[in-house]
Amino acid sequence: MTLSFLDSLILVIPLLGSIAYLTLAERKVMGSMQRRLGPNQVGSYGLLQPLSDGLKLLVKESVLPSQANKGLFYLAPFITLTLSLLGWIPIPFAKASPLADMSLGLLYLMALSSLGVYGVLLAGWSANSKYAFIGSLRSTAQLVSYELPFALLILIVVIIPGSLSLSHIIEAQEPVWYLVPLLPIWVLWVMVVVAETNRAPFDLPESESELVAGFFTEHSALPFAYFFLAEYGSMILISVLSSILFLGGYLLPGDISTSPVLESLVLGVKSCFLLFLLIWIRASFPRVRFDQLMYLCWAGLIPILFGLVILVPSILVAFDILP
Amino acid sequence: MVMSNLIMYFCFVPLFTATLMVINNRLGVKKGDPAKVSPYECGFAPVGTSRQKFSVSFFLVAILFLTFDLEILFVYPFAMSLCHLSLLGYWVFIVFSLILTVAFVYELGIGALNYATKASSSSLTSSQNSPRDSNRTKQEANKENSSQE
Repeated sequence: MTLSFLDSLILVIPLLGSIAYLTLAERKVMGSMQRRLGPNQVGSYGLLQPLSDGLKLLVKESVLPSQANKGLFYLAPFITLTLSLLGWIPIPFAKASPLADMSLGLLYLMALSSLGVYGVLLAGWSANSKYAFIGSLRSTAQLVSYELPFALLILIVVIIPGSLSLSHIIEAQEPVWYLVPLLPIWVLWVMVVVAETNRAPFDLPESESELVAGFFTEHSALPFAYFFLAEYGSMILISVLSSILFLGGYLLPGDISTSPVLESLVLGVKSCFLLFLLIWIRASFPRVRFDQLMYLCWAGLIPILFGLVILVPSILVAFDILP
Repeated sequence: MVMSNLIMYFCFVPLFTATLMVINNRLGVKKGDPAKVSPYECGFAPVGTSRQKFSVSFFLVAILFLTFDLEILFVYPFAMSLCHLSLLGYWVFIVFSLILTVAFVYELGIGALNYATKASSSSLTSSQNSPRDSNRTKQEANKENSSQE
């Protein structure tokens, strides 16, 4: 009982810390890419900036708009952050060390990412503000549409090991990381990941120049911080997931014997590379228009992925290389 | 062990987030004035209701998502059991995919996802803005005529 409580604590506290420092990393990296300093006042090199931000958001007044639906207004950020934190249960950080080794871990993750839409929908509806409403409409359409390529991409990857358990998928990559045989799918995966996590250039829900802040326009203080934490938490989660699916998770290339500490370090380095990639993409590309975004999904990604879903098992059957 | 971990985590996370929210509610000052708690609208007093109509395209996307996501989930068991299936199972999957493709081509063909044209021809925008729009187009047409002359 106490042990499992400690397990939960050991997972959640570093997770919140890494989310906080991811925001600092993003601001620093964006600053360097735009030839400015980024935060550098609080602590040396701005290292205490996330802590002061967090403390500020914790003690600020959380304004409840007069026409808002009170219960749903506070329920929405609660749901969003809770779902984002719950996604970490089946992630194996090292050999045989997830919180709970689920045999259907990927299915569980997809179910959670589908449920995330409810937070967005409730936030936009309950705030009773036009910006929030339009933002939540767009965001829902985007999340729901990109759910399809996301599911198709995972489907293509899991055909090869024939298992939905994350540790099985990693073990199946011991001969070669899936990045090598599935390189075109990796490119599509990066596009879908950017859209699923609502990052620029696909950050239509919170396009500041049009919709103020999208579906959480009316949220302030901690409810706002919850949406923020959830977004960055799902960024980290999906980076870890992509390094598990494509980059061999905690495996080093070759037959190098590893210890659990080294394994989790390897997973961390791979995920950090992917997080940097997401920030890099944000700094490099301008935002697309909403109809372009939907057209890319429905007329670009989904047809090509239908094709690949037929192609990959066909290759496996034709060459008789099924597991 | 695994089960107790799961249950503990499922209880711990909602409690944790809820507790922080309560702390924020207690610590934060509560000074609402009418301007602060009114819905945000670029500094203006809010105009009309925020429960507005929206384009039918959003609804279509949701409906299409339901059907296609269901169909994708049908393929998951196939992907899991591909190594146990005979060649027959593979061909059944191909036929299933073909039917899916036909449905998808039909859906794209009728322009169900054509946002740009939907938005310009939808009855919602045209009925709301028609008088002003027609005036504007007339003025623009006049301007163009005069400039050509």
